[in-house]
Amino acid sequence: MTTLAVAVSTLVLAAGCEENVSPVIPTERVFTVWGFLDPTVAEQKARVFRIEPVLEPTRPEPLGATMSVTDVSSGSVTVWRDSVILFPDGFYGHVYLANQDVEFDREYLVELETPQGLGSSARVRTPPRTSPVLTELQNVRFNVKFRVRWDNAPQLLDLKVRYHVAFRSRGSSGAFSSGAVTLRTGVIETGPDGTPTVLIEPTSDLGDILQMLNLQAGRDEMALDSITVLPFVGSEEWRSPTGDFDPEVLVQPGTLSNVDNGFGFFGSGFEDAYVVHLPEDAIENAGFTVR
Amino acid sequence: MEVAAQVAIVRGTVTDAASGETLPGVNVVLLTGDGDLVKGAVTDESGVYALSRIARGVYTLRATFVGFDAWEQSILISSDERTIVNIAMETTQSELGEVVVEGDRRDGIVKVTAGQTTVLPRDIDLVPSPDVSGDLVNYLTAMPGVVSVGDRGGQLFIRGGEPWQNLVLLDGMWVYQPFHVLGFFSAFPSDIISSVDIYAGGFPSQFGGRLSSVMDVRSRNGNKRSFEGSASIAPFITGFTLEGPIDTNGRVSFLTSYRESVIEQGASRLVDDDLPYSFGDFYGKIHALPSQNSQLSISLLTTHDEGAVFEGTAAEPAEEVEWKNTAAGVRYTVLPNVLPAMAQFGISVSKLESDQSVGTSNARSTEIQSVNSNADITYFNGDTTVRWGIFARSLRAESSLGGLFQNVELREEFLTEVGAYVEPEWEVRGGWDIRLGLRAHSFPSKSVSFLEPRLRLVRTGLVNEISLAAGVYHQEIVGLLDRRDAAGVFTAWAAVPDGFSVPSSLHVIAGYQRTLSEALELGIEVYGKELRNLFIPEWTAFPRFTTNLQEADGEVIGGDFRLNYQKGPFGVFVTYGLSRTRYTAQQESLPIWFGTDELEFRPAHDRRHQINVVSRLDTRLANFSTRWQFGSGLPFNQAQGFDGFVLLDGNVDVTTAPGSRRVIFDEPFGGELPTYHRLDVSAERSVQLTGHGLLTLQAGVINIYDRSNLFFLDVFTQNRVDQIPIIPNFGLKLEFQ
Repeated sequence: MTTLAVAVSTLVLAAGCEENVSPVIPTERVFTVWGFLDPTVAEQKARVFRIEPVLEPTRPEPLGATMSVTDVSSGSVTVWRDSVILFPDGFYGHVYLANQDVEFDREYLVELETPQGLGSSARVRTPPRTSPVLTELQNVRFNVKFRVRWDNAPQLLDLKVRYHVAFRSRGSSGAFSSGAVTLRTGVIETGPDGTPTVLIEPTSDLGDILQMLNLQAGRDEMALDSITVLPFVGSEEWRSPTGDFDPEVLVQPGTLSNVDNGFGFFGSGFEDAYVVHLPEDAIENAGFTVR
Repeated sequence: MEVAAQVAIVRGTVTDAASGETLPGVNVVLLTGDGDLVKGAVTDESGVYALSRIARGVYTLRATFVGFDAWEQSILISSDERTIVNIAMETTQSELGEVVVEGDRRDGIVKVTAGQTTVLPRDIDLVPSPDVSGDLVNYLTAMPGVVSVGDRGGQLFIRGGEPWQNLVLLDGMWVYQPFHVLGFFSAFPSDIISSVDIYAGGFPSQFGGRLSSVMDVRSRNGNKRSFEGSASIAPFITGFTLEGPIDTNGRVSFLTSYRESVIEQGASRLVDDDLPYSFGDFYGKIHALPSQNSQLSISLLTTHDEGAVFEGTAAEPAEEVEWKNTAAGVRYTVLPNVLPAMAQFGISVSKLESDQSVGTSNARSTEIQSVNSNADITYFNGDTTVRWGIFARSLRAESSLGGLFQNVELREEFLTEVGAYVEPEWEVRGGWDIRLGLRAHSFPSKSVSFLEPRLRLVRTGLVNEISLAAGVYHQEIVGLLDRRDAAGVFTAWAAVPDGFSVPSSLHVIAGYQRTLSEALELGIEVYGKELRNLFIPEWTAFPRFTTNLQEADGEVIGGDFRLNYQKGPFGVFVTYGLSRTRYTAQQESLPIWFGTDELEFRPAHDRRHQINVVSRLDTRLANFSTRWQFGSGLPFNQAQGFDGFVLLDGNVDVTTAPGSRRVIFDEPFGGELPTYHRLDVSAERSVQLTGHGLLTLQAGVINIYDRSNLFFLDVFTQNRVDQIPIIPNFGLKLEFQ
């Protein structure tokens, strides 16, 4: 009994009465940044998070970070400014903004730094100017489709198609009303040489356009003026490892990231546009009215 | 003539003459006139013995059991005779406090045979507890290989298996969540227990429907001769028991037990801390002996629990749980006059209602209700005993999960299970006892059937015993829970979700026991469990407790080491459990995230080392007991920090897209919580009062050196919740007869 008591007492003294444990192990990574440089707009923006040791409600205090974007070829540096945004879900977020002229096909260095000199950075090359070209038009009754090849584009993301139409109720002798309907439609294909191409099928989209304009097929008239193809041209590094953008996959830190000593993704891209005017017989074959 | 004589059988029931209580574990032997042993047997859980294949002649039937005077009677066996001899044993008149040394105990911490441990109330009472009466759960957590998440939550992991993989039976009734929200208490106070068989694995064909373990709790019967009762009060719980005869012939008795927590009025004030728990249980049983060769019992159990597992912070809402068990059953045991057999028929209804609320919303609930019926036959034929049975079970499960598992659609489900088993047991040369079983069960509505082979081998020698067990197990009714940390309590019961395979396991156990000296016993058991098609939450960096389920496989290997020393009034047992549990999950994104097809990790209950030291010293002043327990740290998900995630899938305006908070987890379950250890002490003294009263006073201290053992660590907020601090406790129990 005595031996036992001594053994237990020794163990207790050796072990101490409380052991601290930290659920968070220190990391040298400092910032997480989400954004992109857009050479087609003046105002650039990026969402920045400080990598925190505790998951706390966000506060509207300054982030204490300096963000700068350097044009690597010219050496010109632009310092971005911090702004605090209150989102509808009640969280505050830091969005860094700058009026910076971003050139096509140019390399930039994005840097975030604390007053203590800790920082995260990313390098990005903006896409070159593109040269979209209509490469194919299939014009068959009730089966009209066409392809546009996007020469010089590293890749296309987030394709939208805007149909510019005019419409009126059948039997009405009044003027046509004009409108534009934007659909997330079309297919992005990649050619053997890596050049992206988009496939648009107006015949298939007709039903969605009628529905969005509250028109009825066979009763109302709808003329097609033009089609604007609006892909988002992304920089080379803006590639999801799975090919698509599933948040359940991409949420894992590091999965889609080009940020050194940090997390997140900073790319470059812009929304491009190419207007297609279909010939009258193609418009009719697609199911639209010819004015 | 000789052949006819071989089928003669002597059977009967052994009872305590004073109370009419049936006695399991009694040695019953048949001796020749010269005193040579002819046959021997031990009474089963119903107090029934059977000695078969006896040649005609005159014999002495002798029964011995610790605490009782030996019983003897001369009997004449005719050819082809089926004799029933019921035995009533008289209690030994010994002085209070006298220590009885028993050489052939079937219980005790070292007595583990192929994963099976038998626990009696006297074993339970060895372990200090914050109540005058012991509770089964305190003994369970002193066993190696049993991991408890701590003082709160009521969850036990047995040899790597999760709580939903444990089958808990009380008098044959299924009890779905029998452990109270405060870890010192279960639905099984030692006052109502006759014996408990715990199968930590390798359980025989009679049991099924679970992957990991079986706890077969048998309650005692009420006194059929006189009224007895007790009332007790302690800082955590108060309760009473009452039992006695219902008829004047000593054939029918009742037993009731009622307990209710008094934490708010008691323990909370002692530690000046809010312990937000409330629980209680009621047990009632009527036992009858309708004839010389039959027994009938009716049982009812109800329990209720509620409490805050996590009390909440400014940033995170509290997690509160509430559950209720109800079980009722009837059992009829008969020794047929015309057959050398014993038959037991049972039907029971079991129900669990469980709720979880997080803050004021997101309430989740689950309810499972089942009707179980079974017929178990034991056929005695000399050195061969054949157990077989049939069973049917209808089940209703309903859950509302509030988005807990996004890829699981739960609704009200009805299931029926039917099956049968057969398990012959042979005593062969060399002292080997072989049980070879096969269990077949089917769920007709789901068109799934299973065949489960089982094996148990035991070789008992004078000073040592070797045992082996193996078996295959399936579980169609599963518990779904978010087990990214070990403290999760809420379990939703459901049939295996569509698109998932039925979980299964394979057990292999090898054990060795040795009596090293009169005072010292040693037991070692090594085991392996292979678990297939488990459900675990998918890995995600979103800081949420709502996620998708995925399948995983598990592997458990370990060893239990037990040492028991008993010399005079002093006894001590030491247990050490060494275990390694690994889960392997496959998730589509793993190659992208971690560059591997499989993610192998330590689940949250993988406690590598566990030690318990329980001692008892009986003196004239009082009986002193101590328990020191130690557990190495449990794994948990450590984070590198927290940031935010914005899905950049194109022309996203970061000034309007709010994004989500994100956890930058380190390697899955790569962190380890601090070790757990605690010392509890207790002293107990009984005073005989005038008349028929016995007053027991208990004083003790839980966590005497006030170790801050961690219960819950919120990775997101670093909020730490510790287990119970030092608590002195004083108890009082008054018994009358």
